[in-house]
Amino acid sequence: MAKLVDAHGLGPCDFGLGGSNPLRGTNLLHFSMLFLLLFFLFTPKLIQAINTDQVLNDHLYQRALYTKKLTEYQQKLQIDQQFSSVSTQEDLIKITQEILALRALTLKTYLSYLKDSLSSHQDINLQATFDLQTKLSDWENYLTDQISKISNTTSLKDFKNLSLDFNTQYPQIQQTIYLSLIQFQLNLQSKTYQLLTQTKNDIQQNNPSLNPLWTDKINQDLASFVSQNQLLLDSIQKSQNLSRLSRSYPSLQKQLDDNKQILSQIYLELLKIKPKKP
Amino acid sequence: MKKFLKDPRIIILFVLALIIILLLIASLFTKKPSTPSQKIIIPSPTLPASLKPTPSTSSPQMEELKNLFEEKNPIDPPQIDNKIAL
Repeated sequence: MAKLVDAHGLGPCDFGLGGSNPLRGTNLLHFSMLFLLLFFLFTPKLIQAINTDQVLNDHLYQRALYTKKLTEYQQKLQIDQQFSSVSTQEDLIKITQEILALRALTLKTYLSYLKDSLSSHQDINLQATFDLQTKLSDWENYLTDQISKISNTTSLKDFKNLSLDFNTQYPQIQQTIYLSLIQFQLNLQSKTYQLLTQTKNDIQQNNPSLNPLWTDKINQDLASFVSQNQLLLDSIQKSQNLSRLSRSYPSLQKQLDDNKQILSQIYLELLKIKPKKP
Repeated sequence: MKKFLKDPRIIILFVLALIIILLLIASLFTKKPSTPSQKIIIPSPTLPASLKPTPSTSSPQMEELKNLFEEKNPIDPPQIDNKIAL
């Protein structure tokens, strides 16, 4: 009986050649393990990117539908005001139901998109970001409830009551929206600031003969950002306390843009002095 | 083929793949924000201990900075008509 080691067909067996090739299964196993490793490394980021795009596309779709339906609603409202017949009234009830549901859905998808956007740099200001995401979720639930009530309503009087309820809540939703838009930029700028500081220190460490004037300039700019950022945080707090964030948003956005400009200047300064390559 | 399927490493591999697929499916259905584990950090002029400079890492940092500057803000909120049905 031939022993297994004597058998041909397992790879090189002539004189001077090495042992048998590894089994096809072993190669497959190594490839699979490599694939799994890559999968573990890159999948979470990929999922987040796909998810953000989907949430945004969903919102943009609902937004387009809402804009289109709003024009239709205004036309039907005008026709009903002109003729005031049973059929125009029926048409108006139908379109009012549709437009109210679409309005709530458009806003809901926007809140969902904002919540998702905030996740991208949440590690910087974790507590503040988490609080905002919770608020956004609460408003999403409120709007889901509104949509369900709208679909069960069939009279213009009840639609009016639902719309009045929405109008009492909307300023607070707006407040959360603007706060989220600001928080996103604060997180992004905080992250940029930290990375700029780290990069400056690295360059300093790798280049001991660096001109101290350059270091002073960068330090001054970094300190300037911190003081401007503190002023901005104070302004946000003041606007938030007065519940008028939506009105003061343009001026706050301008402050945010100015702060970004400071960070951008520091970045350009860092680009001018590239560290010596070893 | 039977031997290949009986290999304990293959079994471990299949179990791992199954766990990953289940985790993926679970992650697609849960969109809740993660729980906080630390307080708000406002940028300060002092460098945190975790950001101690490491030598020769400037290039990837510059690349990351470039990406941060290129990142766009979320789109503006939709125009909401608050006169509907009133």
